[in-house]
Amino acid sequence: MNQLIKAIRAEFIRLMKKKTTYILMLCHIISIALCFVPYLQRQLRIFMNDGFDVIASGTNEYIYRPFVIGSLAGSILWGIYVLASADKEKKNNSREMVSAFMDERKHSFTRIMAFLGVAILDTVLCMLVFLPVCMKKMDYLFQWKTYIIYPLILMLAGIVMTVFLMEGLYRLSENTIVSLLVFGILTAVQFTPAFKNSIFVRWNLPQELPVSDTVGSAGILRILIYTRIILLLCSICIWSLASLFIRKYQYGPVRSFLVSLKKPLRLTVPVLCALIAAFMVAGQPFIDHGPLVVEDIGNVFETSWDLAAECSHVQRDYYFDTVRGTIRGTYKLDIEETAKQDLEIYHNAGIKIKHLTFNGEEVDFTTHFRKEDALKTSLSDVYSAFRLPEGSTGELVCEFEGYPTQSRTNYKDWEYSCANRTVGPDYIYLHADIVGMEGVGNAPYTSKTRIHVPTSHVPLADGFEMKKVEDEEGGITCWETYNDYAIIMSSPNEICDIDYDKAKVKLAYNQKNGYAIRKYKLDEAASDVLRYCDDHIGTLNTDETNRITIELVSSELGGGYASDGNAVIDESVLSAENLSDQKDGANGNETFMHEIVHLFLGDLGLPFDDDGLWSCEGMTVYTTYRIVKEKYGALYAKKYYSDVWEEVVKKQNNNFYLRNPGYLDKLPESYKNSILSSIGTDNKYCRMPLMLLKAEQILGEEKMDAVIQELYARRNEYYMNGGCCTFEDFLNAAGLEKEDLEL
Amino acid sequence: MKIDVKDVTMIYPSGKKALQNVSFSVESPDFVGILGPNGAGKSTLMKLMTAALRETRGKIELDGKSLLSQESMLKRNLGYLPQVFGLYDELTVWQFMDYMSALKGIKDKEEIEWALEQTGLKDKRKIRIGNLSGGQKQRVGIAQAIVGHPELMILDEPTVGLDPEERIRFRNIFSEMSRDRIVFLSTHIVDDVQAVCNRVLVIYGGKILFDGAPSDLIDSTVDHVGSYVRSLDEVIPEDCEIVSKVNTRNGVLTRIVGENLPDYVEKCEPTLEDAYLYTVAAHSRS
Repeated sequence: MNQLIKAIRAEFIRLMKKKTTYILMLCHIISIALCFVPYLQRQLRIFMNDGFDVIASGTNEYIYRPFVIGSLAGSILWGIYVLASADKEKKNNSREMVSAFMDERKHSFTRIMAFLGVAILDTVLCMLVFLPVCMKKMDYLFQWKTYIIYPLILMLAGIVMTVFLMEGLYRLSENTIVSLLVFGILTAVQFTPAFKNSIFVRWNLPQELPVSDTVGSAGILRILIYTRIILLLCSICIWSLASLFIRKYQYGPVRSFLVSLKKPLRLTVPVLCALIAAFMVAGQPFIDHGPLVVEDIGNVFETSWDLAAECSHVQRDYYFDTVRGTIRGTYKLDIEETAKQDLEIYHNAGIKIKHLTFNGEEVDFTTHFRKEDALKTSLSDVYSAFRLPEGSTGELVCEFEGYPTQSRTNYKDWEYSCANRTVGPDYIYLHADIVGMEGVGNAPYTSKTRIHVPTSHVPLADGFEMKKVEDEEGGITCWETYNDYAIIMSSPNEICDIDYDKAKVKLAYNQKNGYAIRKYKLDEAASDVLRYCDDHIGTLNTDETNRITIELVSSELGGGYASDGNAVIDESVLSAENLSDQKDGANGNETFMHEIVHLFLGDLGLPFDDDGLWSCEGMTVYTTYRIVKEKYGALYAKKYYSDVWEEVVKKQNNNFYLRNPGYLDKLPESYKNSILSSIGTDNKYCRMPLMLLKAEQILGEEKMDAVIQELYARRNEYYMNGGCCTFEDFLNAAGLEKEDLEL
Repeated sequence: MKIDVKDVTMIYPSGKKALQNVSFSVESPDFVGILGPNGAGKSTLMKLMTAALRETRGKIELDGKSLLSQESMLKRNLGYLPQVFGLYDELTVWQFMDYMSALKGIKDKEEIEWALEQTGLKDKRKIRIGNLSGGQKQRVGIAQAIVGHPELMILDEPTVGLDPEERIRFRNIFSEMSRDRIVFLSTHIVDDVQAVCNRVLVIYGGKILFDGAPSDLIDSTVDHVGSYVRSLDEVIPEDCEIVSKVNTRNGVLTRIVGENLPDYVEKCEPTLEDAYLYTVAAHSRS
């Protein structure tokens, strides 16, 4: 062992003496630095998000994505480095001398360990170089924990896999070209339609998953760590298997393998790695193991308990293991069996029913994937069926536990997402269907739901505060709600009141966002917007108790949504990047205003068809401009809004591809999409607002407001018809022709 | 330490027969010189003894056990200099020695100091190997072979590229070291073998033609070595091999070896070189 350590140390020193080691590190740093060049940053964002220019959290923008690119670039650089090093050793005849003193298998292992030592140094160096940039860019949202963990699991793991793989491939083939070719194929396979969504295959270019700036993204981290361990095991398996083919006595690969097999224990490592990896894939808790169903997944949130029995009261209790991400709990139902048939409980496939008792006696049940209902299956839904004695009355108690999964169909069509279910130390987010908070049967009933979360959390059910019941042992607090179908969001939240006459408005946000809320006076900004929109557009939909909660949630959700009284906004609107993005507003305060305007236009209010030149985004930018104009004056609004729009539109009018669309069609698909995406962004943020400004100049401010009010008043009509407010609707209401607004 | 080579035949996958039924036994201490023309099988024999190759037939034993089962013991106690070797140009002499010592499991840094001193590299310790001359690199190769005082040293043409003075110094070092270990020295320079080896193996065409003390080899050539002066165009007697030719005023003073020397050839005292040539030539003819 001592010899091995000394040999690893000596090999490490040898590598550190090579100029190529430093050239590799420099190239690696440059490749990551490219992710911070604004133009390339946007292109990469589009590339990593299937052609969409999405709003990304600061963590995604400055840590996750650069280090994913660092993983790919590092993998390529390290692949070449490992191969070149092995090949040089073979060609300069040092191998014969070295192998006389140390077994070649052992020597290969020392090489790998030394490479890993240098790889760690390389990673640390990259992290140190980009630390000041990330700290500056992410400002108050910078977290050390995040900055350390993502480079390690994304980039370092990718490099480690590459080292094992390339050393293995070279030992197997003894041929640089063949090794490079296999490496190329294994890298390219990640870009194929069949595997690009598979997190289990993306080894040196992990998928870009939306991660949070504030709440740790435990769900994403778990699957990343889990899949990286599987992939690492596979790479170790490849190397340890390939090492058995290391040429002995100048034999060929097969005969050398047979010689190696004379010590069968040598198979232990590859077999063990393969078995553990296979076991981990087969037993992975993240995606259900049900049938693939190609179906419309637009209705993923629709589910219910089809309990064919009369239920008068339901009590639910949920406990969370925030480290493992599991849920444990009980349903207690007071029911009367009237159906005279099997009763069924629908639940997430990851949640297993441990015990089912009726009046204290165990009830037999069987659990099945739903095959007959594609919509249910796409929800990762299973049902547990059981039968109660006919006409019996009593308490049905169901104890369950598990890790909520994503549907296999949904995963295949999209990618891994824990948007509707995350259980972590800093954040618990669960849709009702995941934990069975849906309705029970058809008869009226009462319900009480208790959740037991870390004491630092302030949970919200559908955006509304829950009632605190009591503090429990182990830093847990019990909270209660009487709502069904509620979405639970529990986190160290702060809640502040927004000054607004028409409704009781609350703004809920993670404590870590408190700094931005106070710095940019975002509560005041929200209040200004609500008042303006109320005066100029119309009254916002509230719930039956006249409440509205504006809730900032983790970026893992990948966007926002709204229901009556509850608007959910992606926390990334508060990222330093977004707050300084002049597309949305001149400063952070106005950016947030922009997001609140969205409650009226798009989310809680007027629906839009985000198509071409007519979009919710454009109307929101225009409305924000109007608010700013009222608040800070026309000169300010002109300088920071309309002048900027005009400049962009002027540039756009000169765009070569817009003037010559024929050439655009001839470009490669990805390049074409990138250009179209850029044009689309300019349309939303500049051209459409400028068109609306032109309409305002023709109609006058009052008439313009009246037109928008008229459209807003018809919002329920649009919703009921399943449609949107179109450009034609606007033109008709304004009495304008399309040509009138041409720029 | 004892090495037994028992009836070893080595045939390469290409079909080339490198060694045929080779047998000998060596016990520590011993200094064995291996002589033979190019392609005779010397390097193959050395590779077999370092377990870099595996015999096709027969077996090699180390201390009575199969060499392959003793591979790790062999590696721990081996000092090996291949005929063709590469060094790591990016390292300094000291770093390279430290690296090789680590591979060999040598802990004592004094060992490195000693090896560098023996090879005259002490003042070159901080110089990168890439900046050394060919002869200096050869010395680094020797240094790594002797570091740690290995019990078994296998040196395949170690003095190639060295000047005569250095060559003599090294062969004396090897001789010194052979007092308590086994040293195999493969070389084309017969003088070196004659000067330091107490045993010589003559290999030709994969077979051992002679195995014994150099003096015995020489003795076997008495009456088969002679010299005479011949004219430039005169052919040498049949079945004889020229050992040396010196042009003189009277003609070419020619030293020859052969089974039956003509009467006009004056017999002389044989050297090891004569004996080696005689042995190889005799076998070649047969």
